[in-house]
Amino acid sequence: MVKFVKVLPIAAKIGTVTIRYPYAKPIVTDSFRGAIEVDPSKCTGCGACTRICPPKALSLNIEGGTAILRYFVGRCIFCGMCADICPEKAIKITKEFELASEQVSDLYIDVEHEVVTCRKCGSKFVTSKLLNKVEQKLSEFSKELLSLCPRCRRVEMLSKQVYLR
Amino acid sequence: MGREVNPESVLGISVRRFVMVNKCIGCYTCEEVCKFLNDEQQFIKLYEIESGLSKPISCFHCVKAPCVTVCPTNALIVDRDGAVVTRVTRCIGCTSCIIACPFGIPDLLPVGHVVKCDLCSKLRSEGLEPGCIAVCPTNAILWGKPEDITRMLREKTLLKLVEAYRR
Repeated sequence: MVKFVKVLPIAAKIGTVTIRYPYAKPIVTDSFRGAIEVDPSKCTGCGACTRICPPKALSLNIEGGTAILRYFVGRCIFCGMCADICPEKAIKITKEFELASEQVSDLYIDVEHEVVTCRKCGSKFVTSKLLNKVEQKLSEFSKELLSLCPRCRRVEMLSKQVYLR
Repeated sequence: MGREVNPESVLGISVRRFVMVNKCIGCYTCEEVCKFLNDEQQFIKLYEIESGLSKPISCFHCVKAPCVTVCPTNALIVDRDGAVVTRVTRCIGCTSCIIACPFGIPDLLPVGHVVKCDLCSKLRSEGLEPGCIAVCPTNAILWGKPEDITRMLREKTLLKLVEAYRR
């Protein structure tokens, strides 16, 4: 009982440590990882993040004429691997952690991308942004080839080789 | 011709593989050997261009390889012998190399990284030829220094020309 009294002067000196949470700003450390944020202008839709994501909270699906990079907060484990791996540094880890919502749709964040169709087989194989990025890196590259999907490119190059002889 | 392994060419700087499409009989042997050597993944693959005419295509190991230029993590490198190889631990599976390759060669595994022909680096380190070259029944896949191969091909065309004159 006497031991407890010792605490009282210390408490009086320091004052209140707790904050009025919902009204005051929560204290988060610098290394805190919350929900991620995808920058639509930087993202190329390459899908590297969807492949590294351990709980598969990120997914890249081609629906109709668009590729959708979908982030589902409900599955995210806030590991930050996607931000590490993104070749464009388009993913940012925010300090946001108050993610509960009454609507499930609020938990999905979509980034839409345009897709390129293969001019031979008609399959949608890549986002136009990624194709443009590759095209820029390789300046002397034929546009004809770039508009083909990998499988069609193989057949095309092979038939060229064969019919030349 | 391409059969005997010249130790110098194996250890030399730039060794090239060359597929002579006109010699290929489309027997799928290279494909099967590649499958056997690389855990059921085929890095040399035959495609049917016309009905009944199948020809193999595999990585050309370009000197100025677009996939190497485009790789954001330097996972694709040109090794000592001049073969373009993937470093699986570095690959992030961004598929840039697949888009950049004029032949569409690299394959994306569901695990999340890209694989491609490495000219059997394990066999090469033991001083052996890559599987597809060693096994081709018609010697359609050649292997050697680029200058040796060009020389050989020139000699061949010359021989053909001379034959044509004789007739």
